[in-house]
Amino acid sequence: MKTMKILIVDDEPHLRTLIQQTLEELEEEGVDLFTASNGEEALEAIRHEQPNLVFLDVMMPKKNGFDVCNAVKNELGLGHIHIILLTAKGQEFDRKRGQEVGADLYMTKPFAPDALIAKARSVLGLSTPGM
Amino acid sequence: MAIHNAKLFEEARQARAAAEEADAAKSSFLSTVSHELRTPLTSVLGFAKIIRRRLEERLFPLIAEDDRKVQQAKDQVIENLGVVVSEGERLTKLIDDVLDLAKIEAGKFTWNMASVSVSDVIERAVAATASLFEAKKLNLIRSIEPDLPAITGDQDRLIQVVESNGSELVSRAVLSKPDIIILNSLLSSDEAVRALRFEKGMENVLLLIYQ
Repeated sequence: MKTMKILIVDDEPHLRTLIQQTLEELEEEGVDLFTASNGEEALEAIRHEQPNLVFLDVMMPKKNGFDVCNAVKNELGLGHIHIILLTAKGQEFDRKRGQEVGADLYMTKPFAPDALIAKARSVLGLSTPGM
Repeated sequence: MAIHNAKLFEEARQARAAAEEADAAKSSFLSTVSHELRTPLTSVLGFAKIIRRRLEERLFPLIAEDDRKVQQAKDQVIENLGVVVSEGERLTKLIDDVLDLAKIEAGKFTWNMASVSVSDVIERAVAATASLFEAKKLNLIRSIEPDLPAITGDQDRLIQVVESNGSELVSRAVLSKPDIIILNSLLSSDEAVRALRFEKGMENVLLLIYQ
């Protein structure tokens, strides 16, 4: 079976750890988690690893999340990679900008861990335990 | 004369540009502040929830059940984590409210006006405040008039109004410790009635949310 991959992108180390620990249970089901700490690193990782799903922070140094998303969706021909923008701003303007650059979903920080896992499961087509 | 007018016009234009610039700076400042506050809050809330989950799923099952002191400590830990989570969530809501207020002041707030069922609003506000009742072991009886007419309004904002009034009512009531709180009195209170008849007077609602 082909391994599934989730890329976690955030410039805050605590938030990377938080998302990683939140999604940890998916590792037991054959999902690889890996991280990037800025926009450029993220693009590099997306090109090489071609993850199935990316949790992408918006406000980051060296290319923000909108630019990364735009590059992936509209310039690199990797539109099949599912991108969830994670933003702390929660403003209407950002929501629109997220749609413009082709993000699949837009979640606001602070996010509920359960919502994050549920979303990852549905994108990767994994069943929910106990359901 | 023409020169004088032109000068006045130019001054007015500059004043307007300066005001617009100040407004844009304020919006951008608030959005940055919101971001700066939310980022650490995300860690606090998120890790508190993960700790709770790890304790409940992996660590607590290993604890000896017959030790009363250990059991007590375990209950306290969970209760205290619950406080961290609920206060963190309250803080998140406050940040959202501050942002809303800024948007309202800047005239950038958009209302989602639609036909709203009053009983839906009350039901959802009740659901949101249910934990307050449970925590104080209070019975909640709600009696909603059947066939209330639909009103035009922004459902989420209305729920916010009823919720904050409701919480206030509950906390006031909790102080006096009655056996039963009838939330229905919300609707007969002047404030809530004003809030619910807000087709024209949006300002009333704003006052209620932020007072």
